[in-house]
Amino acid sequence: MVFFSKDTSAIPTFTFDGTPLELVTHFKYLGFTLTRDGSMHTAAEKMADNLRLAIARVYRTGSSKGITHRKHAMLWLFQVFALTAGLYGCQVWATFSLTYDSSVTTRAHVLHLGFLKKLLGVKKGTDTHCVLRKTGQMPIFFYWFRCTIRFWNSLFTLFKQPPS
Amino acid sequence: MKVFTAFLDLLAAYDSIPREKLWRHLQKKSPQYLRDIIQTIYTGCLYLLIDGDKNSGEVAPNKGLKQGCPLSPLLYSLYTNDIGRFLTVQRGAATALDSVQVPHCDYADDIALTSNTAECLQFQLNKFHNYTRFKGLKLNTA
Repeated sequence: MVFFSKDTSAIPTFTFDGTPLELVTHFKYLGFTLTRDGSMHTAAEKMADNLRLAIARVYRTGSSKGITHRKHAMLWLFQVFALTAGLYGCQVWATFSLTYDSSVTTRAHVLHLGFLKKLLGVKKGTDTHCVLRKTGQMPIFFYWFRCTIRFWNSLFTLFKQPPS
Repeated sequence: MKVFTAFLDLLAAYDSIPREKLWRHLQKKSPQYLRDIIQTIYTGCLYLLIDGDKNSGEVAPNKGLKQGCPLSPLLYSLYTNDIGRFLTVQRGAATALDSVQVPHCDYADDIALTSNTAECLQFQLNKFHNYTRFKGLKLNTA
């Protein structure tokens, strides 16, 4: 794959031991979908799908254990199963939405709040901050931000020099 | 700036590691008593594949790492930790840090070669070919 290339006709064919290698426009590497334009939006969408599936799993587990009415237990299940799915690889794909304003348009943010509002049994129009405060949750971008800073710090330590 | 990336998939990476080469590689990296323990784990192992009422008969593989063994990921990482010797750092992709270029990204057998020009990537692919021959591994080009 050649990142940041609009015109693919000028790209030569790469070979390995004489065998031509396929040129692709996207590739899943370590569970993370990379696209030719270098945009992280496709990866973010795929991860939102994973978050949606993980939330469904939380409901299924809650139902099978008969604990859907225990909000605290359901929040724990969300924290363990769903949030971790929504954070996978966020050090890279979530970097375009590391502020509250830029994160509110992401599907992951909507799914996160949707789960919390449904759990509390409040209307969809309920103020976001009230819902987060009541459930002891941070906006999802905060978790992404924390993971990114940790990743940055570990890179920083690894190279032992400040970035230019 | 363009980034040319080759995502490489090794054919049956675990199963094709030549054990003799693995032990030789570990000689430089680990103490004798640890190597003895690991080699003992791999000595005289017999496998019997059972599918319903059919079975394969006893099989004694002489290459490859044990599937499902907690030690196998570490042994694989140790075996392939010299990939950097074969690739040229100066032909790797540029980063935000002037002094850092990234010629390859590896996680177990998921390998990605990165460069900023087509010539550099082809050069690295040729180097990687030498590496796979040296290690007794094969690339899945299908």
